[in-house]
Order: sequence, then structure tokens, then C-alpha cells
Amino acid sequence: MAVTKVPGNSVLRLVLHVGDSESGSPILRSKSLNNVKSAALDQDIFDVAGALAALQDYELNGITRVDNAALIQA
Amino acid sequence: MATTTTLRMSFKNQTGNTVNISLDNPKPDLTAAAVETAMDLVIAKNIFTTSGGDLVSKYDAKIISTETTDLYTPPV
Repeated sequence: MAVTKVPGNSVLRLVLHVGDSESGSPILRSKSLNNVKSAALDQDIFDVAGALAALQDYELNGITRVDNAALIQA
Repeated sequence: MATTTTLRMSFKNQTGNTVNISLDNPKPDLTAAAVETAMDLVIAKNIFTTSGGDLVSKYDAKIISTETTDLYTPPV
């Protein structure tokens, strides 16, 4: 009974620096974009993330790719 | 009174449905050309999928300002 891993849609998460707290530590907010193809290339996701982040006034702190997969017993 | 702005980019997918990508707090000096370039890149890179297939064309892009007036704040 082998278990197969079936990739599901990924999530692109932009981590944005929206300001600083009173004590001076950065306040980060993440913007998630769902329905990213599991087969999408990292480079392509990175390029799109950069282009979208460039439209925002917030500073881009990081780009995260979250991959999902379902485990199915065959 | 607080104002928030949102950039809403609309695309058409393969079945002709509209798909939105919204971003908060767009740059105040954003040009239409810059938004179009980013939208073209989203379509060219084709990393997004929807229930109606890939994104195939640009449909609309707007900056929406929402003005919020706080009338009551519960005492802490």
C-alpha cells in the first residue's frame, strides 16, 4: 500500500514591511495570493512577486512559496 | 477619518470570468503604464490558475479609496 503525493495549488506570500512599532521593531504583514500552479517555476513566481510588490508603497521584506500536497493511499 | 486605498487589477480567464488581484496601499505616484506592465507580466508568467482556467487578458485596473469614519469606539 504505497502512498502517493499529489501536488495541490501553491500559495505565493508577500511579506511586507508596513511600519515600525513604538518600540522600533518592524511590523510585517503578509499578502497571500492563492491558486498558484504547483508546476510554476520558482523564478516566475519570484518575478511576479517582485512586479506586484513594486506597485505597493510597502517595502518588500520577503517572498514565500507555500507548496501543498495531498497524500493518497493507492 | 481614515482613508485606505486598494489597487484592484481584474483579469479575464479562459472561460471569460473576471478574476481580481487586489493590493493594499498602492504607491501614490503609480502610473497606468506601470500597472499595465505588471499585469502583462502576470499573464506572461502564467503562474496563477482559477476554476475557469488560466488568466488570459487584462480587463480592468482601478485604485479604490475607502473613507472610514469611526463613530463609536468602545472604552478599553
